[in-house]
Amino acid sequence: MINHKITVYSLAVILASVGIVYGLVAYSEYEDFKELSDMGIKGETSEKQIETSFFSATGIINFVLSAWVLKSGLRKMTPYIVSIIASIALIAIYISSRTVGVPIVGVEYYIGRLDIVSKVLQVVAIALSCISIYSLRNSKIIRIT
Amino acid sequence: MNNRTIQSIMFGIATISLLLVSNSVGTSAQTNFTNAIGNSNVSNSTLNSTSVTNSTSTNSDNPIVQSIDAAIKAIKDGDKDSGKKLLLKAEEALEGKSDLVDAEKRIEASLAALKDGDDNGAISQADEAKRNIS
Repeated sequence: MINHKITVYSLAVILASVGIVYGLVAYSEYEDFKELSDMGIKGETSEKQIETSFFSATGIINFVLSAWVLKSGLRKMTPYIVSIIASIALIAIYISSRTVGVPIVGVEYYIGRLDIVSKVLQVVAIALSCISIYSLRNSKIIRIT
Repeated sequence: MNNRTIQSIMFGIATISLLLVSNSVGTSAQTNFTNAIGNSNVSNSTLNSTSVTNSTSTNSDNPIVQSIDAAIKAIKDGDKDSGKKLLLKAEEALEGKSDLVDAEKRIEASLAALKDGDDNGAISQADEAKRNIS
């Protein structure tokens, strides 16, 4: 028997953690941007600015999703569906950036510790969201029958 | 909040903390996986120790290659700050060269690895950058 509250709280914690990780990555990119600016390497600074903005926005989105999940509990499916879509999209973007390349940034060759942590957390978030959707659907079926 | 809720939250935080402080996962994944994905040459995707062991200074007139060689030597000697400065110098020299974009990306990867504390990964990426230039 799945404890629904544990699932919801765990998902909220995981999403918040993803937000923290992306915040750390954004800060790291900002530090690189400052360093490159000081050195006068202009070509890279626009790339770093875009990466900093993207990671900051992603971090904020994950915090918002975490709050939404906590607020909705097991009443609505929407936050869980959005969590799944967002996590899959971010994983797909990451894989693209390490294989075929993405616009402006191109191909990145480095896979860091924070990258791996964020991907593991996102996979867990997808799993927990699926469990929550399953629980929600089952509870609706029980109410109807 | 009941005890179970608190326990699940604490478990989540503990898991995340363990993942964040774990060095081995990041290091092995970065060095092995990055080489497997980034290289079309299969032989280059073997152990990083091979590329580290075989990484020697080459007599090159190319100032960028000389800079990378000096950076590799500095990293091996434990002087990460000098290594970083030399890699940044190489990256600055590669800026704007459309035929050497791959080398520039490798230098970036080397800097990122160095920042993450992965010296072997930094050296292997710097070596790849040198191969792309030569």
